[in-house]
Amino acid sequence: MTKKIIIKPDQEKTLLIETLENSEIILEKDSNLTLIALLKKGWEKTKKINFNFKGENATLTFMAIIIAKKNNVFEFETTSNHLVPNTKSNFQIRSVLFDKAQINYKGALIIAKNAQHTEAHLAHDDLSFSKDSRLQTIPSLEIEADDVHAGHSATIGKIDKDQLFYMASRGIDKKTSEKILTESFLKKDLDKIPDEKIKQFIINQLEGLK
Amino acid sequence: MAVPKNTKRLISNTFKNYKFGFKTNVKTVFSTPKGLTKEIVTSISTKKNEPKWMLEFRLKALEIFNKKPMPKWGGDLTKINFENLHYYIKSQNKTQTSWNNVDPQIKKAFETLGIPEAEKKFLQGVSAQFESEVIYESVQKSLSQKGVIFMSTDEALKQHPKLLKEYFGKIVPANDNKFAALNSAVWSGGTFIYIPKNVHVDLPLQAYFRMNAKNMGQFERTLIIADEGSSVHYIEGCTAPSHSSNSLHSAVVEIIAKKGAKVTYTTLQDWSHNIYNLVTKRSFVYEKAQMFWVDCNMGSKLTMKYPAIFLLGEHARGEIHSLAFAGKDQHQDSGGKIIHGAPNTSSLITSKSISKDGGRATYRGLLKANKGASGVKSKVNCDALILDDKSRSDTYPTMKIEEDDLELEHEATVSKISEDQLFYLTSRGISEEEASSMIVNGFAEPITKHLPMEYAVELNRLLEMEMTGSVG
Repeated sequence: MTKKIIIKPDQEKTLLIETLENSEIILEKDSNLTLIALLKKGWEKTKKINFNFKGENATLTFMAIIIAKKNNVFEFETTSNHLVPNTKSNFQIRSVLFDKAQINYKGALIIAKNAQHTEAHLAHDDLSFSKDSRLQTIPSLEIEADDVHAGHSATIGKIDKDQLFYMASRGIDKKTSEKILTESFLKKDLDKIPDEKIKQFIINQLEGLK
Repeated sequence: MAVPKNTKRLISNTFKNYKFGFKTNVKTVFSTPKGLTKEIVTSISTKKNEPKWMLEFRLKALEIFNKKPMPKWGGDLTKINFENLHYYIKSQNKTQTSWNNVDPQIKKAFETLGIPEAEKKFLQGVSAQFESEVIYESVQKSLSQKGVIFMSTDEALKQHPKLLKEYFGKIVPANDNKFAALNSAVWSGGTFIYIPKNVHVDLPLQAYFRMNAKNMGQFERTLIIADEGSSVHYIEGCTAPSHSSNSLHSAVVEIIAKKGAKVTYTTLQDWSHNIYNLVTKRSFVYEKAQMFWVDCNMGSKLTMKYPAIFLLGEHARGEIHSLAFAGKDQHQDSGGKIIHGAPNTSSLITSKSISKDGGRATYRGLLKANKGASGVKSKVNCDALILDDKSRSDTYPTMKIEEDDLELEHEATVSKISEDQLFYLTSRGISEEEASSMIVNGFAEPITKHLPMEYAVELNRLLEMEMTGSVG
């Protein structure tokens, strides 16, 4: 079952979701969608989200904040189909991994032949706290137009030792500094959220973390 | 602002002229009929006077090959007709150690390719393979006195059966993939290198592979063992005439870098555009050892090649530097794989690809950190340059992490020649021709800087010359 969402011409929308569903999202001319996924509970089967750019000058920001604990499994795919010229997509996945949690992510950016002047970027940044967790990330690019800006990046690792040392030298214990640094890591892109209420909701959620 | 027309024309001239498409008329000493059967595999083994275990190895591999399905990912393999190929062609009775004894026609071919000249100038050993057999090999006396072994794998099977039995097919087993199985069944030629403990080979050893006949398959098998604390740089080059029908090149390369050893393996692949180049290359790298793959893919119709590094000892390091040009009707599906199997290992992958005139360049990579591989550091960079709107560029990097104590960075970008860069250079009075050639050269520089000077100069000159549209 696939959910279909259409962002109409000139429409500007900010959406917050707390679980993923198989869905097709269509962006029409001059539309602007900010989709934020705050994910704390895993699911069983792969969830697929397709973004189809059908109108020029459509813009998408997809933000996923994943707090993966215990045995939770987060398996999902996003596909960004740039079918017309002058569209923009920006994917930012931020995840923290604890316990035996797993993340399997595939993020595809596909730019069709006539979709000149596309800007498409995808980033997955992860902090890992457990040797038993597993992470697989496959960002991919398929590009058939030549006048585009496209790229993806990934960083995976532990909390920076220098940062921990800095905090420790200020008398902050390890647990507190880890909490502060994790929070700030997850909050990094919240400025891009245009809706104040949603932004505040996420901040409250993150501060409630142990 | 679009890229000026003149620049587009200049770029489209790049890599247009294939310089090595000449054919050599030479009599065949022995050739298997077309097709692939148990009898043909057996006849190759009998012709080579191989020990029984090798024949058994081949026949088992043939079974595996027949069982395994064709890969469905990567490039289009549907047009390969395994029944329409010669799997073994011999053009000379014996491997020679002096160019004077090589068949004059074959000698002429290699002279055109500049091999004997390079040998005199800056190589310590050369092996030349024509069709299925190595026709010439030579290594400097100073090296053989130190115990360095450099010979065709066929010869090594006769002279060093123990080493072969110990390592052959251990890094890349026959059941690894369909084309590794095919190679294991019909392999011929290739290079065997053994570097004894603490011996350093200062100048590169080179092997040159030439395919001449129509509808043939070349299946060389290379095995390099670098013993503790040794170092070696091995270079391979490959070309073929431009036939109208397709040929297949499917090599297997196995490398062992023991404790503290350093192995550099450089490939300059310039097959004509009728060759399927489907190669399996893998190295096992132990404690404190280092492995470098420098992989330049310019020719072939379709290349599918992902040199792999297994970091199996603490503080081992692996680097893959890959450069791909995909022109008209070409698909370069290349990349690299690094598996961190031990703590405190580090790795680097740099990939640069250029696609033009409808070519397709694909980066496909794997970076894996196994459980227990703590303190891993790794960086992956892939950049692609698309020169026109007919061409295509793909990037498929996979990262699999089972460990928390590591630092991993990955970055990929796709772009065209930047107008700002062009504008900057032309505003300094540099002609548009020179400017675009400089930009393409600069883009490839992070890879070409790893080549030995003579090759880097040659590659840069090739780029420049063809950018200015003049025929070299």
